[in-house]
Amino acid sequence: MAVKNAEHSYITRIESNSRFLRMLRDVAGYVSIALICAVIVLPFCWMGLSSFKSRAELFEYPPTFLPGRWTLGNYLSLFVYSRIPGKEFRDLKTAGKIPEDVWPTAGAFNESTMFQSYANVIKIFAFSVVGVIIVGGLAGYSLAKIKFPGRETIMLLLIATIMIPWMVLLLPQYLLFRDLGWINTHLPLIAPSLLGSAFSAFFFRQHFRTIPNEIIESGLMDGATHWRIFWSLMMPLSKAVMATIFLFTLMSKWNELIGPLVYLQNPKKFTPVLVIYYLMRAVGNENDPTATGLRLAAATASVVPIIITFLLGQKYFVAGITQGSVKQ
Amino acid sequence: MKLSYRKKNYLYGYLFVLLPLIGTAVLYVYPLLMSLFNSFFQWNAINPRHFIGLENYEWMFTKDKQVLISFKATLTYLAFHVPLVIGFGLFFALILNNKRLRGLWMARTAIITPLVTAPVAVAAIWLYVFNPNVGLLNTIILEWFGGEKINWFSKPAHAMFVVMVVSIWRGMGYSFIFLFAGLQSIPTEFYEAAALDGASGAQRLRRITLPLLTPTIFLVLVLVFIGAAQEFELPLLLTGGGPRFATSLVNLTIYRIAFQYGEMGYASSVATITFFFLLGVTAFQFVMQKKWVNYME
Repeated sequence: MAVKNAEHSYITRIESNSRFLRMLRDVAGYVSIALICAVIVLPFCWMGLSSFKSRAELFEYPPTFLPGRWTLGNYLSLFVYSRIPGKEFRDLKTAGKIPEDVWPTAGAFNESTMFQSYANVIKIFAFSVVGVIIVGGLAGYSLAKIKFPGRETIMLLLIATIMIPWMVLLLPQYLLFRDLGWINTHLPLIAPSLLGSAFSAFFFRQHFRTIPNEIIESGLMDGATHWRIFWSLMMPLSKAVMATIFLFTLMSKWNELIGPLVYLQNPKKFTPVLVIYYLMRAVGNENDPTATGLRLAAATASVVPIIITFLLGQKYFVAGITQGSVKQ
Repeated sequence: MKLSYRKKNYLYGYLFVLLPLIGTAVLYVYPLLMSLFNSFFQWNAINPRHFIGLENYEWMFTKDKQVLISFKATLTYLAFHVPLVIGFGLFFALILNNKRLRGLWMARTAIITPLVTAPVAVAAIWLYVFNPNVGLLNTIILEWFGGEKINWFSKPAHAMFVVMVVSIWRGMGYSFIFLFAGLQSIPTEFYEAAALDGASGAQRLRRITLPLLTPTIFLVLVLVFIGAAQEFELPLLLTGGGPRFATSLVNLTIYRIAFQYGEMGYASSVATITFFFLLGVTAFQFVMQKKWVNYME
């Protein structure tokens, strides 16, 4: 019986007289799953549901879970009416042209909208991901398949860069970009991906090592250059890796706060995450219901696209990380 | 000039890694050296640098309360965060390593989700939960336990608790992924042999699973430590550095000194110290791995 169960995980391989124990283990497992989902998912649900609550209800005591009355006021404030400067907003509201439960955003966001921030982050991400995949792919290919002196050293050097804590790099990088005149553009946010991408290079390298050399050799013998081989042979075989890196880069660029915080000053160029950050800072504190409602709406608006993308691409994400650590 | 076949190969090799190399030199090596260099100066990035030798370091350790509190806060944070994150990740990885359970994918996705959520959103959620007046937590305390409303942000210990809870909630997924993958890669032959020998569950855990998992645990330890020491956004968003700097982790302090006080030189010296600390601890971990990590070679 022990041998028959060999394919299952170790938990299943208990001596048969412990069927009760096995059931106990399963129950523990299910309880854990339920607990985990509760602890993780509930806060998100609460955030999402609360973003549809009216100002009054947000600060009701005891707090409610489901909105008593669903309202889009927070989202309207965030997406639609945030463009209107203060005075005009007040005039329009008095004239009854703006729905009751819409409140003004304060400070910097009279000019920019959340929509613009989405466009910005997509632009940053698009350039970054193309850069990371091409540059990382080429480097990975060369590190994996082309034998040249110093190859090992270069690889170690690249890996070492991942280990440098970013705080050490933050100031000099900022000064460097300032001297280049790149402050308040999206360039400093894209540059590391185009130039750095040691992670991507390493990832591709691990992947290319699993491709047999014969393919490359026969290509070379047919007179193809490494460049040609890379594009026509290697990349088509790397769809999974590309998808994984795509997701990784998406996660990191979408969620990045430090870069945009330090390099972007014009609200027109903000990313969604930065918008939320400023909303949290500028619009009152936690005890202000207007601020809380806006924050929750902004948080939901920036989390939902990511979660959806993640759920769809989940398979690649987990597979990608495990590929690095599973023993070869 | 016709290059030999081998030399032509070399050319391609170097060419393809050219961009990352340039990038590394420009964006990593150069800033690292600059940071070290700047730490010996007093500089506000506009006026010329003003050489002051080791004064920055002297100031840091003798007179500056803010940085010392920050170091202490960071060490406390690390002491709790790292073991707990790894512990939870390990716990869940072990429990969920049971193919008979349905709906495993739900739990796996759930654990990883906080990791892929922006820290801003995470902070928005938890600020609401910890809200002293209408937050979920205080409500539970008041209604179910009959306790008193706690202001989570006014006392250093409470604020640190908040930062830790949120960061562990978020960080579990990271260690979970690696540990789970490591568990999956343990060859089944070991368990077969153990079953034949009549080993109990606890014995299997202690003698097979954990020892074989040590390389992964080591990897997670190094990564989580380096990652946790660089925590910046969560404390910034949750407490802004805490009541009187109590939750100002090192990165936060560096950021504040550099961008709010404008003291680039001093900030560089704090960054340098932290870097060497991290380097030292990581090196120590690598040296110590011989004692407890089991590579099956």
